[in-house]
Amino acid sequence: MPDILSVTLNAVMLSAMYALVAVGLTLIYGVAGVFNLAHGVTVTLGAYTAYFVTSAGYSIWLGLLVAIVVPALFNIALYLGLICRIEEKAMIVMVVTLLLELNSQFLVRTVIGPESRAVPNLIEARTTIMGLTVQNNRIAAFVTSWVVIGILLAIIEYTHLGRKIQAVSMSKKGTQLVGIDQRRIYLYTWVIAGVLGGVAGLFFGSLRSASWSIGLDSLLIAFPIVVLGGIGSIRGSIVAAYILGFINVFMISYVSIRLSGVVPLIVFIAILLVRPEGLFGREVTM
Amino acid sequence: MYELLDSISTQTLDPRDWQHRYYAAIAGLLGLAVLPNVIDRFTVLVLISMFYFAIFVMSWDIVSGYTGQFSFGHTFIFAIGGYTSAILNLDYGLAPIVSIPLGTLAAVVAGILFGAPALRLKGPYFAILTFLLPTILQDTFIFFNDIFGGSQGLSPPDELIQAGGLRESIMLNYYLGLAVFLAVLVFLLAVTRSRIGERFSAIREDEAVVANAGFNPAKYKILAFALSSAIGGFGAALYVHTPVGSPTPTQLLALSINIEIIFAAVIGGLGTVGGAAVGGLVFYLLDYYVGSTSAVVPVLDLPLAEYDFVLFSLLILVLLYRVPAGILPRVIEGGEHLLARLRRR
Repeated sequence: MPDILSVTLNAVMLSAMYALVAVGLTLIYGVAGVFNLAHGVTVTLGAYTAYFVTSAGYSIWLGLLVAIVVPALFNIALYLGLICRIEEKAMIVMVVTLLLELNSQFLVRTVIGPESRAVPNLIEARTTIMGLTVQNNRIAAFVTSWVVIGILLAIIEYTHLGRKIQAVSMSKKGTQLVGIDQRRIYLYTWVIAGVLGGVAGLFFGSLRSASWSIGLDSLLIAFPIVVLGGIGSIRGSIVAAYILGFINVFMISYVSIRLSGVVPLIVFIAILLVRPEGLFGREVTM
Repeated sequence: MYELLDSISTQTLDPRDWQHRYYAAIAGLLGLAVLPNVIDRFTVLVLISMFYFAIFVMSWDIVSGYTGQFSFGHTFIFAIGGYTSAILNLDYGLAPIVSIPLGTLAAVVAGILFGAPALRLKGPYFAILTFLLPTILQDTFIFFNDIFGGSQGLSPPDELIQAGGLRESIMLNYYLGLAVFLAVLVFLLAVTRSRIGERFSAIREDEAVVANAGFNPAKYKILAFALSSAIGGFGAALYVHTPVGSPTPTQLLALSINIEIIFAAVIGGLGTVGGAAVGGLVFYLLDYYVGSTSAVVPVLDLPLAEYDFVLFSLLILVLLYRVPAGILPRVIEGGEHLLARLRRR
């Protein structure tokens, strides 16, 4: 029987990573109104850019910077190059972004290789909490997740830009009337989502390893989180990430590792039947 | 049902009034009927799979092309249909003629059970659900390895057609595939050209308008999904009892199959049935040809067969942006224009 404290710590750390991925996904949907299936590409980019920077002999801190900048640039190119011309057609956006996701997965596997790559720790050494030794790197991952999400929430709540983002998510027509440039706000949300995905990717690569399937895997876990939180709700996604992260880690640790994929779906179907608007979402039924 | 007959009778059955594309279609079908007699056996086997793939594309098009609810996990339906029929045959000894209808029924039940709750919701719920379902089914197959054969799949069940020789078996299966393909095509053309089909398309354009006109969009979406599940489940159940199909995740469940279906539907034109059918046939052959070619991508010096997925993705992206209606409707349009011009001279 695995030690309950270490399982809990594991769940806390993993949930923090899920939250990073899910918040980006839900933000783009809530503000820009499209569901971005290429969100996993930013995770892959974060993990692999960090790997290549460090394996070229540079510091992991430079790797962190690159893992933030490259996914953000990718999302800018994606939005301006492909999405902004079709953003009225939600289904076409899904097809296009899905193709990008699958192609990125395919190219990573064939060009870089199917074997997984390890991203070095940001912080070495260990700390002992209540008789349990924890790598400082895992603590760093948890803290970083909260710092990044905290900064995001602060921007949205307290800055002028944040109020514009909130306004666009509430009423497209209203914001047009008061002269807010919607396209620019959409672009900002894509940049933010790219940063969050990149950071999550770096830590996935460092805590476990970077593999070709990392993007789609994190996307598949982000789906039920986003729905449980209520699609478009940042706060909902954070809470849901911890709920699903805990359920998943505990099921894997105490029941069977083969259940890891089934649990999110059961949760998802249950939400659809019982409370489709999720924990913090708006009305969604017809 | 009366609505259906009503709308068919308003269309003319007099060949003199037919548009040229009907002649093209008939010529194509005659060609398909003669084809297996002039090509080698191995190619005939490929063509058998092609018919079932086209049936899968039509099944997808009814839900996604017509009502606009894109399914990324239609393979869930195929796997339920195919595996049910195979297991009933392998483990319970039911003859394929009995197990195929039961597999179809299972697919419809599963489709409604899992699809209906998501179809009632607005937004991306349905797409997310369809994304997750095949993954979960695959995990279930691996979890209950002894029943479903895990990621390797099950051994091939009995074939529906028990013919004496290999050649007869292949030929009979070819004509069975062609006949089922045609039957599905005609049936779906009739349904989609009826008032029910009009409501399906209206949902894609504007759900609120459909609701305001006094029709429940959820009801019609679920109806479309049940219809689609029946076609897809039947196709898959039949497919596993042919020499080319088998109840394995790679043939019935993989995400790549669903992507190929979307490719084919985009090429043929979304929401047309006929486009899905022709797109399915054309794409399957194209995919087969590219996958077995030894050609090399110029400049980059990469084997084309290995990078076919990237190639098709680029093709589809260009189509989605430049020719959103699909290639086939464009070709028909262009052909009619050309004929009209020639006639004026």
